[in-house]
Amino acid sequence: MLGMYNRRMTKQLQYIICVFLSVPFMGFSDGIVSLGSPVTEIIVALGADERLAGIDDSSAFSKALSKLPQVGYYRMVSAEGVLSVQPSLIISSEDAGPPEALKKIKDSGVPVIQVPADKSLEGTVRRIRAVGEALGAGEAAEQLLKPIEMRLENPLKALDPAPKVLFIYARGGGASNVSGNGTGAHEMIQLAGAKNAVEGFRGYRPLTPEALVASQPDVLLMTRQGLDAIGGEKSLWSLPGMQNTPAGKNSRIVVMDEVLLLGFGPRVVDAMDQLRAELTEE
Amino acid sequence: MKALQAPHLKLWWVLIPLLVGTLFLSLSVGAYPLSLYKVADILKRVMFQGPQADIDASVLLSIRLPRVLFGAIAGAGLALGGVCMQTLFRNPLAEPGLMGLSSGAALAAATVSIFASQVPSLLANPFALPFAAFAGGLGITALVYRVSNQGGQLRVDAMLLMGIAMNALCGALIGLLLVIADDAQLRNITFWSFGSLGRADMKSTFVLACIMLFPIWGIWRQREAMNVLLMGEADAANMGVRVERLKFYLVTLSCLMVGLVVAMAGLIGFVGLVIPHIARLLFGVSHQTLVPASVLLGAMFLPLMDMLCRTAVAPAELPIGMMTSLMGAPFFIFLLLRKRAL
Repeated sequence: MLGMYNRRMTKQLQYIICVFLSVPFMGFSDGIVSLGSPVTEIIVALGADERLAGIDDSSAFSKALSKLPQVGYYRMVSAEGVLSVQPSLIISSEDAGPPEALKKIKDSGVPVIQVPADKSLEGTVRRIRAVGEALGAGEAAEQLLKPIEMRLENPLKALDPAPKVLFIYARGGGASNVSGNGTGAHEMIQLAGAKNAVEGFRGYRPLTPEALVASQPDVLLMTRQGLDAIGGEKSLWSLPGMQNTPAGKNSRIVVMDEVLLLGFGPRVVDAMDQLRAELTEE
Repeated sequence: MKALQAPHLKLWWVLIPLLVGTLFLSLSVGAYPLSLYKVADILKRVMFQGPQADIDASVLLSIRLPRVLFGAIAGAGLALGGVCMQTLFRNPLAEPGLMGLSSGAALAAATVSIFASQVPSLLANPFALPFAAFAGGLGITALVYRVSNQGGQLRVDAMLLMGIAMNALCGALIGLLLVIADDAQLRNITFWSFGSLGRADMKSTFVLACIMLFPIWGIWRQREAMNVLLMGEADAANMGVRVERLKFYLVTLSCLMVGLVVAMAGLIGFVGLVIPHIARLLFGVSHQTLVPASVLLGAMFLPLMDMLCRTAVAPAELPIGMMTSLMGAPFFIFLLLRKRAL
């Protein structure tokens, strides 16, 4: 037990020296591994991207980031893979896993800081604050938080009549899903003052022609990556059942960047405003 | 009767050094850089100076060592499970999955993954899923066994057909569960159905090793009876083998071994099929050599495959079940083609 205690102490000491002097010490670099794209986005927004030593697959949303070692999808990382980039700190979304791998990383003496993963404005505030604290950049984090806290105090008013928005999540190969309660898309649609066209179930369900017609969306919402995956707008409008919906008849679609729309990161207010603007324009 | 004498000397001389070499190699290869020299150095320091605190030692001892040992024991169990089934069915293409073991375990695991969210205490319990998978696999196999056991006699052909039906049924039910699963549950089920040694730690490795010893020892004791069984059940009975008891033994012990591995590491296919074949090609069909050769080759094969999984897309990782099938399936096709040519 004493050995364990000593080991922890030594590790922490090394870590503190590393962070404050930014000097590689006994094989340690000041490298951060970020697990989960929302976390990575905050790290980049706080100007700490230079300190990243590795990211998960979902975080490779810019050219500079995709040059970093990628340790696999953040929900199924391997302990050894993460440790192989010699990190001094892991900042991980709470839903990263598997838990066994994270436990092994912690046991090896590298600190793992888990930050809230919930997709909501409040969640974003807590997430940014937690990442800022982990990086020792509390000031910068508060700056990022200002517009979000203002938005929390003055939320966007619901549109009247609220358009019914259907978010279609496509990954190619003909498999598309629609998002029900509890998803990031559902939350974002509501935050922008609109109504989710499919409610009454949690999570994602496959998109079927009948469900599409039954939901009668006024507007479709897709990520740019998703629209590319199903082959552009033309093949979207020719999906079975699409022409029997108001959105299909009027060809109304909002296309947004996936990280912006679903990430609930530092630009969450921009995402709300952009979606709101696109929904209200005629 | 020469084949029934002690195992070939060359088997031990060749396979044991190879196994030790493979295990050492597996210990030194992975995303995290550790040279063979470093591995030896850390092991030496641990032996003579007690627990080590540096990160290299931590990666080696708490991440890679359990993985390699778990892989070796699991590989031995899966291979020997295949030997039992092939002897029982007197068919070189048999494997434990034929009796619904894998699909039963997969069905139980999927059910737990999905409905655990209704029962929070289940979700938090790390033993819930392995236990359910073990019980599910054993349950389906027991059902198959029970139905094909007519009048105190185990009808092997009925067992095969019943196994196929059960596999189809479990597959359909898993499909049904996949439809209602959400994103995280889906990921959990896929993760599990391709297998991974990444979750192994020293505790689970120790448990696996302790339990696995019994079936391996039990099957080794039956090696001569298994040789006789290959000549046919009637002949075996005439030669004094208690055939029904032997068949019960083989089913139970192979299910125990394979069920345990499946429960702890997920579905890892093709090891039970391919390894006994290689063992037969190299050392002949007598169980006197087949049993130890399969155990040793299995113990080499799985850590080797896991090494590929760790390094192919490092620092990310591939699922082990995918790798064994990727390497095993072409070999299986080769066997089929060779059989047709004969």
